[in-house]
Formats: sequence, C-alpha cells, structure tokens
Amino acid sequence: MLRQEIDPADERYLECKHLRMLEEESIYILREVAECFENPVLLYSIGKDSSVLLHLARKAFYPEKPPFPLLHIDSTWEFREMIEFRDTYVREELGMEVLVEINQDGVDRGVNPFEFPSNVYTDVMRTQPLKSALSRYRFDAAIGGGRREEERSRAKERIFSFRDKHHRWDPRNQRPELWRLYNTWVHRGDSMRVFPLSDWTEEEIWQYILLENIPLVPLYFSKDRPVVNRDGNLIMVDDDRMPLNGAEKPELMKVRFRTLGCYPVTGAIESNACTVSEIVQELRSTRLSERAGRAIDKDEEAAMERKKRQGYF
Amino acid sequence: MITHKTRAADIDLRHDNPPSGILRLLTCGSVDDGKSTLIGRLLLETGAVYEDQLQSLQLETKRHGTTELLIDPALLVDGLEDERAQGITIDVAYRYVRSPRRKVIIADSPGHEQYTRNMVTAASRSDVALILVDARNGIVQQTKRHAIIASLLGIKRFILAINKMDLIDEKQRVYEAIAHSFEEFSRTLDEVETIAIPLSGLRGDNVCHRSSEMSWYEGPTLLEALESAPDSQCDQGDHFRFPIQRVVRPNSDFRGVSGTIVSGSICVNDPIMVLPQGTRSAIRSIVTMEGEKLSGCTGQAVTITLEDEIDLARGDWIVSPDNESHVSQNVVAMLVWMSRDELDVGRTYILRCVTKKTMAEVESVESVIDIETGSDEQATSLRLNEIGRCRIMLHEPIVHDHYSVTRDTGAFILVDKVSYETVAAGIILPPEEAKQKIGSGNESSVHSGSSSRNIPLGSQGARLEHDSVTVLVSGDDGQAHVDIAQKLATDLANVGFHVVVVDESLIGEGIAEAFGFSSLEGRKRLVRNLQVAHVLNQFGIISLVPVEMADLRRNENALQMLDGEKYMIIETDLSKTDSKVIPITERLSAGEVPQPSNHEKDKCPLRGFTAVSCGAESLHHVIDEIANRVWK
Repeated sequence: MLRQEIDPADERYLECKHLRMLEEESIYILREVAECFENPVLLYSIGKDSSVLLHLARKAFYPEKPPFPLLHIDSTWEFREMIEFRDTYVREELGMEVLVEINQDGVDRGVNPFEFPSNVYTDVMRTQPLKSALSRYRFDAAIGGGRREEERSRAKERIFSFRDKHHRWDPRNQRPELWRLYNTWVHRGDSMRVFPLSDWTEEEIWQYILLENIPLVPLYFSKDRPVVNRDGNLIMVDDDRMPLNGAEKPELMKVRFRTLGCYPVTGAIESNACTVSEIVQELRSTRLSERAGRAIDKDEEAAMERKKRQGYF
Repeated sequence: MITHKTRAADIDLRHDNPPSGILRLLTCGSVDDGKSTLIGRLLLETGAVYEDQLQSLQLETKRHGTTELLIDPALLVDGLEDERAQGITIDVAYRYVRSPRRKVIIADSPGHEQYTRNMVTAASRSDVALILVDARNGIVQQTKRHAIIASLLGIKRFILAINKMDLIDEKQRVYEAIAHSFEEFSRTLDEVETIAIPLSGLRGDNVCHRSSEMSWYEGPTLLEALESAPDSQCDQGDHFRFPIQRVVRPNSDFRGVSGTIVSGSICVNDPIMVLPQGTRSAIRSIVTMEGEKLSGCTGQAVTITLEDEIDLARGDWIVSPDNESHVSQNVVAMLVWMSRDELDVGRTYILRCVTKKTMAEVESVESVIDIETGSDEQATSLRLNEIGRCRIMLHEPIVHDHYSVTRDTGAFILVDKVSYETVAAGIILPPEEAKQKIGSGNESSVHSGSSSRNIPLGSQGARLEHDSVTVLVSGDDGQAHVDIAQKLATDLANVGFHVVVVDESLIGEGIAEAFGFSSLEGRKRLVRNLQVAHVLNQFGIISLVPVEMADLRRNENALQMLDGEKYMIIETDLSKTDSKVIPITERLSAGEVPQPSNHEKDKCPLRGFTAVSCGAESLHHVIDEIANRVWK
C-alpha cells in the first residue's frame, strides 16, 4: 500500500472548494443511507473509487465505524496485490467487516476470462454472485462507487437508483430525484443502489486521494511489471493460470493501471508516474479515457447498459 | 470544410488552476434549437472528451452526422444515449464540464411533452438556467414556458443563449431585438437576472472562444458567463442552520449529532437553540475524523456535541438563537404533481422536508398555474405535470424555511404510502397574508429568540389593524375553559385577529421545563401568565389566558399588572347554549351569580368588569365583544 507525504506544490488542492463540495455531498448521501435503510452494504471492489468511498464513509460516521459491512464480489481473477490490500489494510488495520462472495459453481465449471466471452464471464463471476449475495443477506441498499461521467448509460443513473426484486434497473421508470430529498422507501425484496460518487470525475478522485492522503493498492503506481501485448492491451501476467500463446513472452515494462478489475481483462498503461501527484499530472496530458483499457465495456454496443439492466453494478 | 479546433488549445483550457467551486446548470430548449450541438461543443472545447471517444465519434459522424464537420458535436450528446431506441428521452442526463476556474454539472432536460416533471427534477438543484433560442425564430412559447418553470423553482440567473447566429444577417439588430423581448417578458418573473449571448454551437462562436464575426458583442462568452456566476451556496443567508441527519452514540461517553451546515457558521461555546422544541444549549465541540475543530461553516458535514443532555432526533434543527426559520404544522405550497393518479385531496401521503419525515394531507387546492401564460386558474385537484397552490396539513410540526429564502430547507416531496411513488414536489411559500402568521396554536409561527428586542415596545402593535386586549377565560376546575379558550382563539384567528393562548402548552414546555418550575403553584403561575399576556399585548397581540375561577378570586390583585382598559374576564359555562354579555354588577343584582360571603367579597371584589357567560358552542357574542373592544 502506498501513502505519501503531500508535496508542497500540491498544497493548492487543500483549498479546493469543489472537492470539499463533492465530499460534503457524498457524506450527506452516505448518512442518508445509514438512516433510511435497515440493512445497507458497501460494495467494495478494492479499486481507487472504492477506496475513496470507504474513506468518505469513515469520515461520515466518525467517531463511529461505518454502520454497514463491505461486500467484495471476488471473481477469483483479481490481482494478488488487491486481495492482499483488502486483507491487511481494510480488514486488519481499519478493522472493517469484509464479506467476500465467490460464485463457487462458476469456479467448479471452470469459467474463466480466457475461454469464455466477456459477457458470459462477467455475468457468471460478477453479476450472479452479486445478486445472490444481495438476496441472501437481504441487503436493502447497496452503495457503489459508480460515477456518471464514467460511461454513457451512467449519465442517466439516479443517485438513489431503484432495483426490483430481481435486481433489475428500469431506465424508463426511474424515480424523480428532487433537491436532496431522496425517496428512500422500498418494499420488502426491492432494493436501492446508491452512488455517492455520481458527480465526481476521475481527475477529482485522484485530486481527492492526494488531498486526503488515501492509501491505495500499489498497482496504480508505475513499476516494472511482467506484461504481454495482447490485442493492443498490455496484460500483466499475475500468476501461472494465464495461458500464453507460443509467440507471447512476458517482458518487464514500466506500467501502471488506471482501473483495477480481473487481471486478464485489465490493460495497463506505460507510465512513469510513481506518486499520486505524478498521476494527477499525467491525467492532465493523457488523451485516452479511463476505460479505454477495459474490454468489458466494448464487447457490444450499449454493453454496460445491458449489463446494468440485468443487475451488474 | 470546417475542422474542429486544435487540441493544444483544449489542453490549455482544461486545467491550470483548481476551480473555485461547482456550478449546477439547467439546460433547456427544444431539440431543433441546437441544444445537443451546443452542449457537445462545450464538452469538446473544455476537453471533457478523450481521444478514444473522439475516434468513435468521428466514425459516427460519418455514419449519422448532419454537418460537414469532422466531428458533429450533437452526436456527442444525442448519439451517446442511444435514446430514441431505448425510449428514455423523457429523462434527465447529467454531464460534466471542467473549465480552468469552475466545475459545471449540467442537468440536461429534454423539452418533450413531459417537460414539467423532468424540468422540475433538473431545475430543483440548478443555480443557473441556460435557455436556448434559435436566432431565426426568437422568443417562442416554449422559451417562456421554460423560463416560468425555472423561475418558479427559484433560479434567479438565466443565460439566454441566442443560437445559430451564423445563419442570420443583421446579427446585432436581431440579437438586440431578442434580448429586449426576453427582458420585457422576464419582468413578470421573480427577480431574474439575464445575460443574453449571441453564439453558434455548431461553429463554436462565443461558446469558449470569442467570435471575430460579432465584434459588436462585448459581453462574456458562454464559458465566461458560467465561470463568473455565483453558486447556490452564496445565497443561503447568514443564520446558522443545522438540520440533524443522524444522532451518533458510539458509547455512553459520546453523544453527538451529524449533519450539514446549511447556512451560517458556528464556533465552540456559541449558544444555540433546538427546533421545534425551542430548548437552548451551547456548542461543546465540533468533531471530525481529522480532530476537533473550533468552528464550522456553510457546506461542511460535521458532528456536533452540545453542553446539555437535551432531547435531539433526526429531523430537528440546531440553529442560532436569532434564527428566522419557521415551525409549523400547516404550510401553503406550490405542488408540482408528478403522478399519473390525480391528487387526492384529504388522502394521507408521506412528506419529507430536509431530514424530517411525517405524514401529511393536502387540505385544498387553491389554484393551478397556466404554464403557457404564468397566470393562476381556479382548480380543485392536480393532474400529472400540473403545478398548483395548495394548503397542506402535517401530522406534526416541522421546521422549515420559505423556499424563496433557502431552497434546500424550503422544499419537500410527497410520497405515496402504498406504492412509494414520488407523487409531488413541494415549494413552501410565505403565507399570503400576515393574518395567517400567528394564530391558533399550530398555525405558522416564527420562533425567534431576540430579533424584536431592540424595537420599542408598543410600536409593533401600531402596525396591526386592531388593538390588543387580555381576555381571562375563567372556569371551574377542569379542562372545559381551556378548550373554550382554544376554540375562541381559532375562531378569532380565522376572522383575521392576531391571537395567542397563554397557557402551559405555550409556556410550560419551553420556559418552565428549562428552569425547573413546571409545578408552580397557582398564584405564581397566574402572575407569570398575565405577565406574558401583558407583553404580548404591547406587541398588539390579543392574549387569551385560561384561568381557574378560584385562582382568580384569590389573586385578584394580580390583575393590577394589566392595563385596566385592556382586559376582560369571561366566565364559561358548558350548560349554556347561547352567550350573553352582561356587566357583572347587573348579574350580581339579578341574583345570577351567587353572592360571595362578606369575607370573600373583601378579598375578591371582581367588580366592574365585563363578564360573558357562554358555552363552547355559543361564542359569537364573545367574539363580537372582543372585536368591539379592539377594532380601531
């Protein structure tokens, strides 16, 4: 995990009014969830957005601990460093309760991101265990780190987004969201997905990480890592489950990740950015979107929207 | 062929200094006015679009584009949503623009038939409304409709984007004519400030870059206008307001309340008041994860602990003692009806105002706004997308502001208690006439600690249309005379008098509890109540003091503190079905009132005062008598 001293050159962010406004908004939403629902949960994916969300939750409820557990949907294909961060920092150091959900049936059937199409893989190893955990624990609100800027179908997502008994999102029939007066009432079995980071952008997430000195999985920072170039994506060979074609040979490259997910489908970028401050600088000159390296969004038109309708986060 | 502006310029624009805050922008206008193109242009030129997104955009422009441009800015907005195919055009989308000085959140509301409900959703949090006009058509009905709704939702700053300037001749004359015509129309709206900008979304003229073809225009570009507009946090007022969101009690040593400071600021040791209870205390500490703070200000989400262990719950407010918020159980509000089911007058709905939840009924619909003209029409109910003025009765008092003062604390939603559908958005209005302000017990009243202190006593009474009087409503042991006092107060308030019942419900909970003399014996209680009545008289308010006859007889000299001209005693008698006003001397001689013994007579003469004998159902003579005395 990396936590760094703040560079004096970045002190101007300490006065960032827009970050404080976003922070207040998110804290307000998190507190509303805790007050209005009986059994909320925070969907924790170990990435930077989740880390910001967890940090905001700790601030929102201080001096209490956040009054809900974290739920990690473990596809079993996460980077090893992510699991280590989850167990040592979040569980041990912060003392948070982390529920881990794995689709054992999918594991037994050998569903993996290499041999199965991305939509099948995502459905079996992410969406199904998510839905099954939400139903089994009877969570009535699931807090997630989704941002509207991230992806086209999210631009229309409410902050408190209603889901029916089958976890389905109906974009045609959303509740109006007026002022800060969230309609939080749901019937038994129905639930709410809540997105406290809706109005944040990737750059603001990073500025806030800098401002608040939030610990992150080291994969976000540049380092020599073994990668292969597969269909234009730099894929890190994180363990020996990864099958290599005859021509492929992992080589050490200075890379980092802009988003974290399952290692075989998450592309790295070449970078020299080793600190949060350098990442913020890098973001200012990059001309590629955050999800350019994520295969899952591109496999078909409106892919994310369809996944969301089926219950994907 | 016109090409997209260079990328180098975009990078310069993107980020050099952190922005000063967040501006929420409502955009409206019909599709043909070029709204998508304008928003797309704004996104492109502020660098909100990445290279990989631009590449797919170029492909889409070749396929679907309606322009000769390399990239059709409209596709950035329309094409992204794939809206037509999904049938979700009715909804609001949120987009983000980042200029060197500002973050702008655009609530993009399409101007389709379901305009009202969606525009209200988008406008409810917006600071500025961008209203698009096609320069070739000028101000049309749709422009006015959008402006009326935006203004109703409290938006005070408008940007009139006069678009498609590239398509017209005599640019300056057309611009001036349209700007003037909107100015004329906007005088009918509430305190609206408008900047009219001539621009072309397609070519980018006056969007982020000044147009060389309109050198006569000296105002700001669209981006400059967005950068300089004040955000909503600037308008909230100075009074400390802190609606309680959560009570925090991790262990027996810590008891705090969490919330966001809506307005004003607070320091440790500052005195505070809790509403609706009216209890007072002081700030002990301001707690955050970074440690205790000495002060807090508008927009901060903090946790506060108080000096005293007083009763606090979600929905209560902590305020400064000089606060101007209201506590009431009845409100007059504009309702925007959002359900397909018509408003059911008298049905109970869930009401949420800030963090308070209660039940409420719409008592009556008084009028509906004709959204085409802005005028009021008579109505008895509301249908989908209609906006009307209604009287709402709540099941318990809530703390609130008038919407025109503070939007976040002057608004509410109504939710159907069976389907949980959001059926209405509500905007709390000031009561139309002063007479409704102070009334019978649960009418709207201002909780104000000291705001009147510096006004000379008596001068306020002079402003009212009536004089004041203290009416002692006496009776034998029991509750009957108290009930009659309440009923009398209601009837008097209904005909327009300013009236307060001075009894334990007014004084007991607030003063007596705080200072521990809730069980005052009869005389002290009478003296105290009469003193309060006397003060209220000096402010022009009619005071009704329920009092037991026996107490009054024993303590007649307590009446000396009242101005002799300004009090009357009425005697209640439930057996009476009619009321009669008889001077007590006449009644004594008629043998109606039992003669007190000589001993009692010396102690308690009660002579010379008007007495009214009445039952609960026969107060009209009493009201006439009071009216005769106070009418100027």
